[in-house]
Amino acid sequence: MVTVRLKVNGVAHEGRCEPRKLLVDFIREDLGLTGTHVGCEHGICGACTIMFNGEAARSCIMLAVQADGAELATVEGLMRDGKLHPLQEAFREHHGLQCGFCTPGMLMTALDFLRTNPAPSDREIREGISAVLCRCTGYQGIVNAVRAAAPILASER
Amino acid sequence: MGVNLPRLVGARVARREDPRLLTGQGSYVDDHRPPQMLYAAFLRSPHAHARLARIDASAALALPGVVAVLTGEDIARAAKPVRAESKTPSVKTTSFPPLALGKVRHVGEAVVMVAAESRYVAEDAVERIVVEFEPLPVVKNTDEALDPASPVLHEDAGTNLLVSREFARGDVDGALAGAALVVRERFRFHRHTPVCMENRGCLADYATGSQTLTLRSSAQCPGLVRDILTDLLEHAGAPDPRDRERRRRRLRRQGFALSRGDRHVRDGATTRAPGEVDRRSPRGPALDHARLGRDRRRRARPERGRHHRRASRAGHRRRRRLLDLSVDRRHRAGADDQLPARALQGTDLSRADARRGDLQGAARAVPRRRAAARGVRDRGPDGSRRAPARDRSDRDPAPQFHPGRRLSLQVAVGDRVGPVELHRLARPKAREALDYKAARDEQARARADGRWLGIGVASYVELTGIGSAIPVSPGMPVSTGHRGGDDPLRPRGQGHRGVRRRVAWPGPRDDPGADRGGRSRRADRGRARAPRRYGDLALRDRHLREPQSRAGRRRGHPRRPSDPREDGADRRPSAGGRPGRRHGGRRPLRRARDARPERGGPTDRPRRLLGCAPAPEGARAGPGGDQVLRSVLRHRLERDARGGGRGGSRDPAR
Repeated sequence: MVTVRLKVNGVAHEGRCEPRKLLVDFIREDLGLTGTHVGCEHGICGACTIMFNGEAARSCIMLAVQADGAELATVEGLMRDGKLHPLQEAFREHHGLQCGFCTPGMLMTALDFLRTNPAPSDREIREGISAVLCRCTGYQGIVNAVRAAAPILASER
Repeated sequence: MGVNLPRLVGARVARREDPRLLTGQGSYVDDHRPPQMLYAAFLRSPHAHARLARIDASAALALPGVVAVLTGEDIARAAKPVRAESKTPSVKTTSFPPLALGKVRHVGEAVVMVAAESRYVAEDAVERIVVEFEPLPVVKNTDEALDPASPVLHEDAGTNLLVSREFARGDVDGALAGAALVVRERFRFHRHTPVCMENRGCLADYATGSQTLTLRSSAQCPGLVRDILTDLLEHAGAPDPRDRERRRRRLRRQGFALSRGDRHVRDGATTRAPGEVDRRSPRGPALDHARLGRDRRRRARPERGRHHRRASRAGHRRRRRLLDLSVDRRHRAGADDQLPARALQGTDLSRADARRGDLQGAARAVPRRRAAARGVRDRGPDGSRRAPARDRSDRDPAPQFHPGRRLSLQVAVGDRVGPVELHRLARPKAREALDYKAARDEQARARADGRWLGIGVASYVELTGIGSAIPVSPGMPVSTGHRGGDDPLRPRGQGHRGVRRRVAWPGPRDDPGADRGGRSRRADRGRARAPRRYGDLALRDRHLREPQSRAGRRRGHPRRPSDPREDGADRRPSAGGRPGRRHGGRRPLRRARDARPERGGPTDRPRRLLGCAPAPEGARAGPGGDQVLRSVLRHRLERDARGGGRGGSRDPAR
């Protein structure tokens, strides 16, 4: 068993786990943050995407020990002052979700994408979210939501 | 009040569940972690057909954290095998044990289950189990399976042909003989597997003291899972029907999302073996909580789609008029599914085999068959395929053959009632019972208020959400579908609430706080625990209940909802602007008898369902004229008649 110390959504956590434990299992089981979902467990579906030191990363193909000392952000940390994040609002407004299973990963991926590309074209949006699979929406609502959120996030910067 | 109503058409209806799902507060099966929960992992067969010679689990049991290792024999003492019985007398019923007994019948069949304190340990333990398989001969397709010399998969059936049926109308051979051209095609449909984003899984929580099993499952058909599981867990030691009923009541259904029932039934059955676990592994806690699933490996095997082989002949007159069509079809159902290795031969266009548990059959056969029918139909007399664009424009305005039309009802009625042109029958009756003109008037009034109201009438046979059987109408032996719960408009799962707001009349409130995340209200839970009985079956569907005396009904509803509840607002039709209503904002629920026309219910029900003005004095609904419509309107009726029952027969098959 090893000790893992890390910050998630600004809160410091410490946990003990086996060295082989996946980061996503650590987040869900040890930290109790079940908003991050596990889909394929091998880095294809993107449902487990989190922010790892400010960059989108797949927590199902990382070990918890790799996150020792890291700063993570998960979907639970997106709300501010009890209000939905503009990206979350855009997803709601544009029906960017149905069953909600891919949504946490989609939000974190889109957040990272909009940080690197504040004014994307539709084509770039599709490319940007291509790392996350959604089986409900057909992606159109998600693309619309990301497009709508882009100027809001850019103006906040 | 009408001012506050959202428009249904031309406006977005915000989903109530979104804030929860967007902030990581969804409630999926994998998110629940009761204390002392154990994780299950399965050793699966690498063989399509093999005898189980020896299972040695000692190395697995020696692993710290492993609580139990169960084999087919262990499970057989706690749960009966799944048996998919059919109302068709000629069908040979076969058994599926939750874990393989004696031999395996398909690749991926679960052979041994490990319960451990973590999933990591459980999967380690599976790797330590030694199973000696003695491979048996296999067949590769349905044609081989039908060869009398081929090995038999289910010895109790004695043959690989489980059912063979023929549906025919008219003299097909004669018509084909006289055709100007006969087009023959062969079609093959391969196996497939659906892969949802949320993994298949279930969480079983068995309270030994109260003998209550609570199952959380990602299945889409909780009613079916509950009913079948109740039967499976009624092991040989407890044949007492009262005990069975008790178990049935105690098997409470909880959340579900996307998948199919039978697998969940089997998974659920493997979770209920506490006695076994105690005996085998005294050092661990009883198997009270077990989580199964989150396992993509099982999914990766194309185990669900059935292997179709279809030979079609289409006879054409000149000028591309289709004359007649004959289809010979054989398929397997999947060796581990409810109807294993079934080879089925059928002639004619109907799909004969949609029945209980045959979820994918009903749902998937339609496009498949359409594709096949189109394949021969659209090959013209010159033998060439029609170009797609031309195909559309050139289509016969009154086609002689419309595979989709009769299809829908045939799925439901099979060969028991005979072909009925549902669309032709239902539409005028629906219009009549709906009072189409009044509905249009209401629509015009709503539009003047700025609301767009849609009126849709459909003849539709829904067989995918299998729960309890729904007869097409009270007293009719035809079941149009199945339902999973006691309130069709009660949201279940993660995303239904938003959908309901569009198909049912939304109320003025749009309060995200009212979303309970698929959890039932207290009143709903109370009802779920007290199913009514019809014959041998516990009934949770209100309209399936037998008519009862009012006094008895009241006794049966100690918690009859009498006040608007938190989501009552979007359940009720708007009362706004209608003259002559007694109530103001709080609308009293009508008495149960109102829902039953034989008890002199109100005559203007269809209009009220649409929120129209009451019928003029003296107007009566035509007696018996709206039977088909009732199924169309069932959801509205059901909602409107809270606590009301409609007498009806239950589909005898279920």
